[in-house]
Amino acid sequence: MTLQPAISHERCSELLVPLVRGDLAPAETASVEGHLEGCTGCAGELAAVRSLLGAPVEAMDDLERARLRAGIAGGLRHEVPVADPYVHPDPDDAPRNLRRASRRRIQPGAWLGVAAATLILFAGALAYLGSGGLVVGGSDQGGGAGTAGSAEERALEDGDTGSRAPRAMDEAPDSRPLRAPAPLVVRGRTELTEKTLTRLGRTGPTFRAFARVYGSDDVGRLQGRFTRALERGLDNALLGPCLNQAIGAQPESLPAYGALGTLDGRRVLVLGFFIPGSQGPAVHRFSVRWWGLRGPGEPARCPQPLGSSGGPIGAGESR
Amino acid sequence: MAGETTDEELLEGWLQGRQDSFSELVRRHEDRIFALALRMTGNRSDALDATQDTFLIAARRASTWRGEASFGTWLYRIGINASHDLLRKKKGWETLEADPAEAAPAAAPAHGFDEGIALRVDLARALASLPPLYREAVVMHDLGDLPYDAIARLTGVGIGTIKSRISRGRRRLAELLEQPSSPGPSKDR
Repeated sequence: MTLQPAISHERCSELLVPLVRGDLAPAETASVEGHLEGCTGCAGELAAVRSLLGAPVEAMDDLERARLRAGIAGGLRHEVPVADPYVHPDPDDAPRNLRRASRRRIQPGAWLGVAAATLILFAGALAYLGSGGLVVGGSDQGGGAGTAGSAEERALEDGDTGSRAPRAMDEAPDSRPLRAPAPLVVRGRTELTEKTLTRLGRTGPTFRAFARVYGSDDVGRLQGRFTRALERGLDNALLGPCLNQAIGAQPESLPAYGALGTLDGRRVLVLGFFIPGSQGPAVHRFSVRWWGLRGPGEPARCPQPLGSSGGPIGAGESR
Repeated sequence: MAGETTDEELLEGWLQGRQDSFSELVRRHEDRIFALALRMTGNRSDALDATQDTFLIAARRASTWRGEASFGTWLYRIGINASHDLLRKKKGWETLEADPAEAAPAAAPAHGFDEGIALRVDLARALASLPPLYREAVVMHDLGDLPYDAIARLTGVGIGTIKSRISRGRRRLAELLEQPSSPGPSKDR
């Protein structure tokens, strides 16, 4: 007779799903079964797992199915598939403003709009393909053209990338875009001033979009992803070290904005951060820092920033 | 066409702007995603919402599918996330106490007896009666095949807590399944 090694409740619990699916090696199966013989708690767990894995799938009825398909068709009016990953956070990040649409969802009788939605979608897809544009970086404002207060701000928000949300999305009559806002990347020849950067943080569309959607509970989840988005978008050796410096100084910062431009005649790297208030949207803040760019071959160590600005988003200003 | 076209080809069609391709993906996967969402949320209305979210997120993120897993697996993960997100904002989510009235399951069959239907209804009722945090962890792990660390990241708690929720949730589920069923009215249909 061979004695099977005793296993803990925790280990037994871990192995129940593979046991029911027949994925365990014979020795492991014997160990688990040995434990189950003397453990009513784990035997109960096994019964639950068997019920879960063995139960038939619940089906939708015809009405539910019709409502679901109509809701999806309606939602697809706002969706244009794009190839740039960093304007689209992962599924677990996105639904917050999708939820706004979700509240409009699946109305009885929504089928009436399905045919129209289909036509609009095809027209939108054609317009999108005709525009030849993919979004390079952007907020949920679709690039923000026409929303910033000055030519500089428009240039900052648009960048020199020609970045625009797909035209079909911009022109839809009730087109609140469903994308969660992502960091805006601006590359190139943009002329910057400290005043412009402060105004950008205080009233610019990107920061306002962040303030509408994100809160302090999002920071840990999104910080790494948005950092990588900026790194991909700007591709500058100083970016990573300077992001680390800024986030190290203010850990609750969420990267929202990155730019390469010129300030006072000097090439600079600018990073903007959304800092969610712990007491609600009224105290959301921004922080913008900028660093002088060095020549090629210089060590990629982040220097002290040349300057910074910050304050509440939406009102007030501070240096 | 549909029988010969793979999910991956349909996804490519959607990326090229063909809505009918995405509609076919919906038809293929809607029942499976709905069943997952129903088990996670405990009621059919929320399950429909979560299913819709799942497909709209998939439409938006179609270009990010890299093929490491099958489209169905990828979609299933999105379904778990969408259901979790929907649950997270529901009132009373922070408490471990389930509200039996809120969690009323689908109606029991009115006549006849089918063992499969009975098991399905009993399981639906038992799942709906589980505290939401337990139900979510059990469904994510046992049905969604999510590993402990992925569930921990998604829910923002430690792996030990997740293991505990799964273990307690299963034991509670087993107790509920042993109780005699008493069909009650559904408030959700």
